[in-house]
Amino acid sequence: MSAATSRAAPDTAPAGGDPDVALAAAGDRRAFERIYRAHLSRVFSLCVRMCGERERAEELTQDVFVRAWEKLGSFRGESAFSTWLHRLAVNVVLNARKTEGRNRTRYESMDEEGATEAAGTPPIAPGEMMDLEAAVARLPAGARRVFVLHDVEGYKHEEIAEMFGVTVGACKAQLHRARMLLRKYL
Amino acid sequence: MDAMTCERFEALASDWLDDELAPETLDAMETHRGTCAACAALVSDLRRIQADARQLSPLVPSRDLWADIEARIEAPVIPLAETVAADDRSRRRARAWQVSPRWLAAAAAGLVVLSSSVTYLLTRADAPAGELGTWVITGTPESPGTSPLTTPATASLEEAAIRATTDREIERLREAIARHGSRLDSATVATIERSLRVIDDAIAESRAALARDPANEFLNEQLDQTLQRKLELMRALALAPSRS
Repeated sequence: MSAATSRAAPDTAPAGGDPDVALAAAGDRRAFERIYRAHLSRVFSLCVRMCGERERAEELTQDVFVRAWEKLGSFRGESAFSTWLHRLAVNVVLNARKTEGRNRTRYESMDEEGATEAAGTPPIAPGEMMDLEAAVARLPAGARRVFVLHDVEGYKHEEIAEMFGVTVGACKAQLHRARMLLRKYL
Repeated sequence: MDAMTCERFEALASDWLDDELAPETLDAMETHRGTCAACAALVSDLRRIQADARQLSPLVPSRDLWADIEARIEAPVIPLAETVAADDRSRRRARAWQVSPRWLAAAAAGLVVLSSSVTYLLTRADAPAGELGTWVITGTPESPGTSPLTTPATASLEEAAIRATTDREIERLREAIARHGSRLDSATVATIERSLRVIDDAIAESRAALARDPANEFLNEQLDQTLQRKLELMRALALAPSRS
């Protein structure tokens, strides 16, 4: 048995009504696998829509669950486990972008002021119709993330602004830009 | 009442959707919408987008990710900064007889975590170089006493375990290089392999000397420097295909 599986149980069992959370926090990997399967789709969906690439999203999804495993002991049940996990996923995606952004000119959280599409996306053929999923993927990164967090995931502007470290006004501007671009794509 | 133009209407449309307008501005927009088909269509479209966004279908990955996740959570995680900081502290505080095994273990741990990260990178598609914030030791040695350096005089079981893991990680890195090496220029590979052989000889000599004199600080420093040179070369060799 590895060191990770023999982790000591937390002082306070995580609340929230899901026994698998408490079991996983005590080192039960089978319980954690059940948690993974129960929450995979929601976490992966968030990662795909936030980063715009399915392959990268699979890597980020792994990162999210590995991070969740590491931090389960700190989950005290002050919020629903799904809320805690979801927020963790958002942080993982945003931190990944910050890390990758260090090699670029500037973190792109509120970037690409003049951009109208995500980098590398093929042009839209005349008359081509696009579903919302594809249109969201086409958005510039900053606008896409704000749109996903606000309109898809239901976060408030104040929460998003705090995550990105920007003003609420900047967040609203990105959302408006995203919606107007989506209208154009659709 | 505010004068409302199509440009202003468009600029305020999102605030309207999110119920963030003052009543008088909202009235002006309602009035404008009643007389402007284009702005009425804009609101209608944005409302539809907003509603559709709330009902996007869940997505699933192309494969089951559990096996990869499980492999990663089986391994203990050692933040590199902690390893370096702990080593700095121990170097400052320890007497000579304490420095040797700790320094050796820390150097080995450094090699393990860095090599492991390279191995991890090589198994990930398009992993960005800037993501190396977490360093993973993949597995723990089953027989720590099998390490060539493991003797009661030179190391604790924990240190021996780190060295055994180091050896295994180096072996994994070699395997990864073997898989990717065919894409490298053969002359470059030959040059690096020659250098690695020289370094391996130096490591073996240092280890043999340390087995006889584990408190020798100079030997510990020498071993660490040699390990670092080996690490840099192996990393260069392993990462070369992804740079091309």
